[in-house]
Amino acid sequence: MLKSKRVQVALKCVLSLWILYQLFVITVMPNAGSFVGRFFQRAVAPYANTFGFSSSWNFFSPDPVHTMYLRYTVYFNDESGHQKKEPIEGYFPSEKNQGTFDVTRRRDFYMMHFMLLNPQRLETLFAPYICKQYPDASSLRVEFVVETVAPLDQAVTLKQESMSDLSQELQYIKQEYPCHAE
Amino acid sequence: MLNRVVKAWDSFWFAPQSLLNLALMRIVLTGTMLHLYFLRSWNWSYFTDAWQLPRSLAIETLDEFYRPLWGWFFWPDSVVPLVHSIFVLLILLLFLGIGGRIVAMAAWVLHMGFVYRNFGILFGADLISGVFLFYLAWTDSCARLSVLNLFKQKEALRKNSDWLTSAMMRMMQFQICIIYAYTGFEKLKGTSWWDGTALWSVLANPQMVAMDFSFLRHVPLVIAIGSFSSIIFEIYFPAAMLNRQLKYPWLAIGVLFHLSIGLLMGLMHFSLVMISTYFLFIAPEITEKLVSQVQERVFRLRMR
Repeated sequence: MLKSKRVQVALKCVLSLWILYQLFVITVMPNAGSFVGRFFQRAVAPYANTFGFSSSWNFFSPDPVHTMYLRYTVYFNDESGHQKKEPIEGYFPSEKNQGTFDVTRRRDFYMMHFMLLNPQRLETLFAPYICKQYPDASSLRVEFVVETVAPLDQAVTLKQESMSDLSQELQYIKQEYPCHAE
Repeated sequence: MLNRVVKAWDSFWFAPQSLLNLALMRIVLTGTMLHLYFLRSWNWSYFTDAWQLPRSLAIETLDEFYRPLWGWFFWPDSVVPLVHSIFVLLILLLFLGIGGRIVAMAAWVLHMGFVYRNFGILFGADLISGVFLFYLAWTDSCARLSVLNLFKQKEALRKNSDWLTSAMMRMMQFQICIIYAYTGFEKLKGTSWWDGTALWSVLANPQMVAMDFSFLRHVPLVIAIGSFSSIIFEIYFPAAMLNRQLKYPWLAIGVLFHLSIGLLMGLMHFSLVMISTYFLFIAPEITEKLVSQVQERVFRLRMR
């Protein structure tokens, strides 16, 4: 009886230490870029990343994003650069500037955002994937398109204009990638 | 003095708590996960080399700061449909209150495997449910509201938690408060939230909502009130949970807030995962009374 009580006290002590550490981790990691986050990076980040406590909890912040998607064109040229086939244009997500409530489709939107957080991912992930879909493609051109949401002030002032008329299309990261790259 | 501190610490973290509240949280959390991950069965190819993220790049593609020590996806891509089906089955068992800690821990490990096999496609609901499934895996969450209890004597049911369960329930309370506080703080960094127009950027974005909300430009103050209310609700959530007068109104506002997000933006899974944690803040007398009232009604219906 006494032994089991001692074991329980010892276990509670261990758990208490973990509680203190865990509270520190879940408080620091959402602001990992801060001085404290950087200072304790080695003590906190590996654990937090491995066990899923590294999220920054920034839903719709610092500002909600505009409508965005990837527009790509697949080219089919021979080695001398002559066109073998008409280019094919596509969008990712395929819904383009429209949303979807279909959970099985919605993950594409999150993947698009994930790629845009680090545009190198377009080269390492997106381009090889699209090239694989078209085995005879020679190259791929990708554009990141943003359709702006008109600011509230503008939408209020120009009530007679439709929202799509007030929106502007902007293109970023126009990049061409070779398919069949060695 | 030290003795008093130790006693207060022991009482705060390890004193018995209501297992009914934990069971209600388990049902809403795992019920939401069950629906979300059953639907993900149609996306299992997203976790194989057939889609955009090759297995060899799954960890490498993450920013160095956010890389885990290991990826958890110990299974080969060829068995993803099988592993995913096992995962959904484990969540179903938890929903029914079968299996307890072992099943919950196994489900969490598989969940983390899917999280790190393709980090790019994660919803907020995936991340938050993973966090709470971790804590739940250490608790005796299946002691109440389990289908197995139908075959047990009522007197045999345990009502209060063991000390490990109590500690994890407290940790979950802290975790949800930290999530809310940070979501509020992060919004304060944005000019549109500070300006009171951020909600417009969300509701006027056709990628985010199911219907046309452009009519709201005729009542722009609604946008400003909604934007500022969101920030106030999130930032002051932790403080409200400490105040007896504010706690229940705040939780009620939270339910409305999340259900609105869920319905207008199609983020119902996220909303329900957040709402599931609210049970941990409700006084056990209230939940015991409500559950016994429901049980009585069911019993009466059966007798008719």
